Amino acid sequence: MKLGVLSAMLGIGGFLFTACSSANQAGAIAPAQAAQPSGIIRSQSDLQRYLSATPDSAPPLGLLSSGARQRFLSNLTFNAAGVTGFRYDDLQNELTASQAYSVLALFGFQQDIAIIPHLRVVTSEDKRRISEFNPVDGDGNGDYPNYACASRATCAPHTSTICTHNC
Amino acid sequence: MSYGSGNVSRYVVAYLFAAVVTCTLMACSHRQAVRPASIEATFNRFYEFEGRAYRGDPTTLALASRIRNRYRTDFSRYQTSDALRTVGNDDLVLLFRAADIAFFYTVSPFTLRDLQLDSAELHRRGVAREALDERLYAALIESRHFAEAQAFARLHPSLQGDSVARVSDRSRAAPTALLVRGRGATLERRSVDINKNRIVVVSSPLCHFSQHAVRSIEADQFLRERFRDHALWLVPPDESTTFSTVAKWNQVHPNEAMQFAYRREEWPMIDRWETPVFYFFRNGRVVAKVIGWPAAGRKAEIRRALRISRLVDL
Repeated sequence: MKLGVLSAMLGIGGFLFTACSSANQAGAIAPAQAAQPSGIIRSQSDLQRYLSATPDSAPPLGLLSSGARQRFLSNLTFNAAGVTGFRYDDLQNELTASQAYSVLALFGFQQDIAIIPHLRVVTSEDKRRISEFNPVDGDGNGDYPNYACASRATCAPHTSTICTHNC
Repeated sequence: MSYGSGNVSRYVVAYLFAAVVTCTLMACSHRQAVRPASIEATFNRFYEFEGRAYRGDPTTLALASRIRNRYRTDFSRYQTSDALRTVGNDDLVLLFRAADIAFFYTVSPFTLRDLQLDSAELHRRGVAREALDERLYAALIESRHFAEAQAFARLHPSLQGDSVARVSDRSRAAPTALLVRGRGATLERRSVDINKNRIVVVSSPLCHFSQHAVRSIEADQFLRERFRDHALWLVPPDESTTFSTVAKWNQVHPNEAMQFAYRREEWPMIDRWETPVFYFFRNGRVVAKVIGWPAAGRKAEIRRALRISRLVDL
């Protein structure tokens, strides 16, 4: 009986500890990123489907802290062609270049790591990703940093946002 | 004896349970601990406000006014040398980011001063970041404080932004534009005569839709000639379009060479600094405006605007 009570109490404590541990993994940086097909999210409904099928902590979006993840997702804009704009300040603040690449690849905009200023470069993979898309002619790829899609084919000044060519 | 032994066992069990729960909760609270939330919470509210304000009315002047007021209310109390010394490093970065957002829309002296205060405190603590130095440098350039920008760049030689070697001022009256010479290190400020430049296109070499508009106009002889004779391609002062980018653009597109607006406030007739927007003038006043350049183009609207502005026969 006493052993039973002891086991039950330790069991409850252990359960609490386990729950706590897994809750905290959402904020951890995963060491490796799962390969994702590029551009699988092209609309708000694609995004909702993806989010409901993917744990919050799963990379690549789980590489962001919960606040940053929420800010990034709530500032995405879409039209029939796909993503028309996104904010990059949280990618800039929390991720390396290759991690940002993985996040943007979900939306088919991985090439924009070349125009996001000051992405962190830590590994050779980061360097490779940046140089892969670095525009050589200086004109960029037509996606306009510090602007957002204001109306059809028009970009308006909006800090740390990219107005994409889908606008 | 057995009664006493039972009590001891219950105490041991209760003690172990309490210890496990306490350790667990302590571990949880330690891992999930957040620093005092006031500045972060204020920043998050300001960040959300900026997003809402933009979605409500993205026209530049209206947005600047709302952001300026909100920033002053929320952050003025922190932005003094004494107050900054009392905040943590992470909060100091958030204060810099808030000032940077406010500067972005207002390009105001007081937000530039706040950026400089925050940057000085970050450097005093030895926790400055290159990315933030780049932002301050870009803000100095956008404010057209070229001498200060040059001095800042000398202190921080790793900065990647535009290097400005020489700036000359040949302007007599507003509005003025900044011409980029050579590869972008030499700049010249000049007055713009709206009676000569009767089409002003707010545009940028970095903007997909501006690029597309230029290609369409170049391919159309009628429009190409009208734009060659009357258009000024005007780049908004911003932190993205570098002088060297415009210099490269101008080499490739001499008929659609771009110039920077010197300061937005010199151009009160430009109410939208979106790209591309085509303003058509007659007798110094805007008489037509064409916004955006989708895949199908806006040639019909441009031709109509040319007629309204009397740049072609009615």
